[in-house]
Amino acid sequence: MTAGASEVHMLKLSELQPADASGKRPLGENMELIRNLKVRLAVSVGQCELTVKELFDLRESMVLTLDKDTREPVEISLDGKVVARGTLVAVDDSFGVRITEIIPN
Amino acid sequence: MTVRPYKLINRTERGILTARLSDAIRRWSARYVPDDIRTHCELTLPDEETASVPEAHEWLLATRQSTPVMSIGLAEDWPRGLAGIVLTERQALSLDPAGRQLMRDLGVGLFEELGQGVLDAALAIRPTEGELMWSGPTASAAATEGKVLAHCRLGDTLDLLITFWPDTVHRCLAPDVPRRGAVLPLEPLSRALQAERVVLDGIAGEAELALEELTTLAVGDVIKLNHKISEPLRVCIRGGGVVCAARLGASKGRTALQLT
Repeated sequence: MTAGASEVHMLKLSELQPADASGKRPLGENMELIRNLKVRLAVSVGQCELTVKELFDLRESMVLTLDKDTREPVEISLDGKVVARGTLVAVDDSFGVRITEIIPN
Repeated sequence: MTVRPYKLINRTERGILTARLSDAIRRWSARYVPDDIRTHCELTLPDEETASVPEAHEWLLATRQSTPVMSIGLAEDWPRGLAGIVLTERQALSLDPAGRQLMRDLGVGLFEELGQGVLDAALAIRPTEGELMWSGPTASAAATEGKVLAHCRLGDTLDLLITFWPDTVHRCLAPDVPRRGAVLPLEPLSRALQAERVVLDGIAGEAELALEELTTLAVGDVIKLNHKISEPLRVCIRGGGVVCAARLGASKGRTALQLT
């Protein structure tokens, strides 16, 4: 088969041989490559544990006491993993969090 | 007692009789046998090619698996001559009038082939009136446990016994089919789940950052969240979504949420 004046051939993929673990890492840990990646942090003021029955029995105006003392920091999570802690503050008319602790890698 | 002579049956008749008896056994089983036990009925010949097999032994009605049966055996040929329905003594005692009628239906099919006397004997079954009548050598061990309830003579020579066996013998004749465990009644899923535990999380808000910003965060930095202070917090179920909204506050020194 031809495409105009060009010859067209079927492609056959050759088998690739994986290198051993000592191969060079072309990317290294170059954070520059992903620095613009967007991540979403969530700030939790605390948790409480209930049974499903208690959950379904919840009513308006009921008070759920959480597992944190009011003086304890809130948790800042990335994909469910706590990566930092902080104090809940007001930034203009929104909530904000002042970092008090960053979990080391 | 009127005794009709034993009648040999050919293959076609055997098939008809098998179907008739199977139907009776099915009806009997539906009433008395647990659902997880299947019953099977057939007439078999010990060896169709063996011409020397005495005519009197030519047919056997065999019930398979663990159907409790009343055994009807030829005395001189026990246990090869076992025929009929085997019923343990305990179950025989529990027969109600309907059960006896079913036995009679079965007997009509089975005993017509053997003799009116057997039918009469079957209908007259009274477990407490049993009398031990085994005499054959192969039956001697079983005879110590079995209770013969009827003894009929077919034609001039064949004895036929109707026996209720205790469970111990029955288990040898037809081992117990593994029973399913007790079936618990179904319970609505919503009720079964009620004791499961869930974790609720009060979310003050979220912030979207570039990874570069995240990696350069330092203690003292302030991140503005996407949630207005005037709005209630979202309450999320861990692993799920938002379940309700709540106002942030305190209760006895602890952080608390009041549902809105």
